[in-house]
Amino acid sequence: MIPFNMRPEVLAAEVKAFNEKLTQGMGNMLAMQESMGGVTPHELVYQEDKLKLLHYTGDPAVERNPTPLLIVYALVNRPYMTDLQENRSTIKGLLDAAQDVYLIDWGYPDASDRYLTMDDYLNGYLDRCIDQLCARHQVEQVNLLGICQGGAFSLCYSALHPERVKNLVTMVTPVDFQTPDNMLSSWIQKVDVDLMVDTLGNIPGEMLNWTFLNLKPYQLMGQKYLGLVDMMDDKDVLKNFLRMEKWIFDSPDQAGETFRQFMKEFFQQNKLIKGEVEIAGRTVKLANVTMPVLNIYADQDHLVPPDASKALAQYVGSKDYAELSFNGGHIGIYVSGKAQKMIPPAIGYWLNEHA
Amino acid sequence: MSSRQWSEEAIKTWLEAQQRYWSTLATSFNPNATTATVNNSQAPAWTNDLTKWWNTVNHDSPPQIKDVLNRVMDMGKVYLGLAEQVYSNSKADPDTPSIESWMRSLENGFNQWLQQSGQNASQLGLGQSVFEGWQQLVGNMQGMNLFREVGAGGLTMPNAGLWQEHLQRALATPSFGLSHKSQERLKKLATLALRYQQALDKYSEAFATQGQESVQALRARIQKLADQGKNISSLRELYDLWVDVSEDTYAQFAASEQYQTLYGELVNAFLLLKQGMNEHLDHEFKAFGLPVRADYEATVRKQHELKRENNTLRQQLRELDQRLKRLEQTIQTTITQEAAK
Repeated sequence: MIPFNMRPEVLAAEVKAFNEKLTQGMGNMLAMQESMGGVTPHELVYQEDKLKLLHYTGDPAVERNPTPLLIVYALVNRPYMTDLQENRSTIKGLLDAAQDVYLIDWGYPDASDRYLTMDDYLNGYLDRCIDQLCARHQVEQVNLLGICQGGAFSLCYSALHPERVKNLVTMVTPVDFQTPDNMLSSWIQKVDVDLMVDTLGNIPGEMLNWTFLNLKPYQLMGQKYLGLVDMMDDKDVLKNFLRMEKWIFDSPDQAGETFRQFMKEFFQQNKLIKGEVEIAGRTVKLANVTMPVLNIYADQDHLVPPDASKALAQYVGSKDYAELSFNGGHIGIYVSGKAQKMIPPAIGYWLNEHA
Repeated sequence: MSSRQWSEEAIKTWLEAQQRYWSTLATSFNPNATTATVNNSQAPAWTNDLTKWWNTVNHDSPPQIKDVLNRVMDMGKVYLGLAEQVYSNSKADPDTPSIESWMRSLENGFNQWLQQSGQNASQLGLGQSVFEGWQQLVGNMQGMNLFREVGAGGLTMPNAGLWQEHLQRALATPSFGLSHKSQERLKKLATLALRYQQALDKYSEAFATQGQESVQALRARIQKLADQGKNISSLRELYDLWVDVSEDTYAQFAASEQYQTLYGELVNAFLLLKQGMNEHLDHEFKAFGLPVRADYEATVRKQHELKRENNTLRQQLRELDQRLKRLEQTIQTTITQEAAK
């Protein structure tokens, strides 16, 4: 016997309840102001082209780690994910853990950035940001915290310039790009990346978004919004939802030449673990990453599978390598209440131990 | 009303109007009822009602929430469509459990999609958003909006007129110079368009096939629930189960080598078509003596190279400056030491 045979009037009542919730919740929706990402007070300390180097000021009375911590976010999506709201801020957590926090906001590339390469991003922008921090703090090295693609960038930079990085923290960072459960990698294998960049120039953020949403389309493009109707009467929950929604669809275009190199050499050819990535004529060898490394991954990450991150242990040259596993997903590691209690304090503790 | 005029008063008035609208709608099936009921002789049009309601307010909604509201409404239509189908099926065939009739109609939708090669994305059920998302992406790219209709009734399809019309319009773009070269370019473009349509057909066929599989999986899951003595007591539970099963089936499909090939072919065919369009437009612009994409990119590349040179020179300057300072310090130290002797 099939366990479902609802009577028409019961169905109609459920539909009516849905419509009522939608109508009532709409009042809250309409009253919502545009949500702004980035809530922790900060100052602009360096700017170059579209890049901005932000310093999070924090409580001046707190004695901080003398080595500044530079957060290198991915080029995909916007870095305010790390500082989405007051009680959901990795950055605030790091300040509370006595770190002196800086963050690179890469900005929104436009057509004039089409020829930016990984060399420009790493040996150019990132290197100059580190120059700024070293001069500002009178130090020779910084601590790097690389997030997702920014983690892969940080690994490359640390391999090329180990003398400039005191400690390296990687979060949800792909290292082995061809683990069997990496769906994104599977999809890109037969795409002609050269044709894509030659034809489109910069890669539209909208295209990346469509790809990410297709990892779980029924949940992310449908069910999630039905859940929203249930929550629309709670203004705070609604506000948080809209903040997250804004972030999800706030996708910068990708500089064409950097996209070409990253897709071909990292995703299609898996060269990072083979030690074959070349940047400005120099080969990136993970064995050259000799500084202490803390590698943090999420157990339920559907974008960067845990095995893709954990592979770092096999290739990194550091003798002081540690891992931290978070029981959550790729986004939850920044915004969930559980992550707030666990991740920033753990990073702070580890960095202070390695000061 | 502009987006800036959403005062508290306006929201209140608007809400009252909407609540009256829904209230009228809910009781229209049976005016004497205290809760919403449906006249047995009348098929519900909940999706249509939601669409009508949304159309009345959509253009006035504030820009910061417009996109999310659109997504909520798209989901609402799917959800209410489910309600309509379950309800209508239970009326049409009272002896068969409504959920079985609904699953059969889902299968019919996928079958029709396969037979007619994707005329109506709503036949894909929950998968509609995936397919429409691609069409939107394609349509938003400069010069590609006319190809947005590909796959929604292409050249070989019963309603091919629409797409043919678009293609003819593209081919009718004024040509300059020797006509035979122009003809060749247009033929090449038409070939690329057909290749894209074929890739999209294959992709959507495979998508519909996995949709059929998802209905089988749903049937099996429901049977398992029945075997366990569990009951689905609401439309929402049914929707969530449908999403859960569809996601699982899709995940297997999307991780397969078959999907990798289909996806690669779809994206590559689209890019070739876009490249063909770019070349076609470049030829036309050149004939007018206008700058083209290649000219612009050459300028951007040159500017980029200059910027890199500039950065290198700045770096060298900084290093020279530091060396000079060190030298000055050394000289100063030497002078001081000599003076002290």
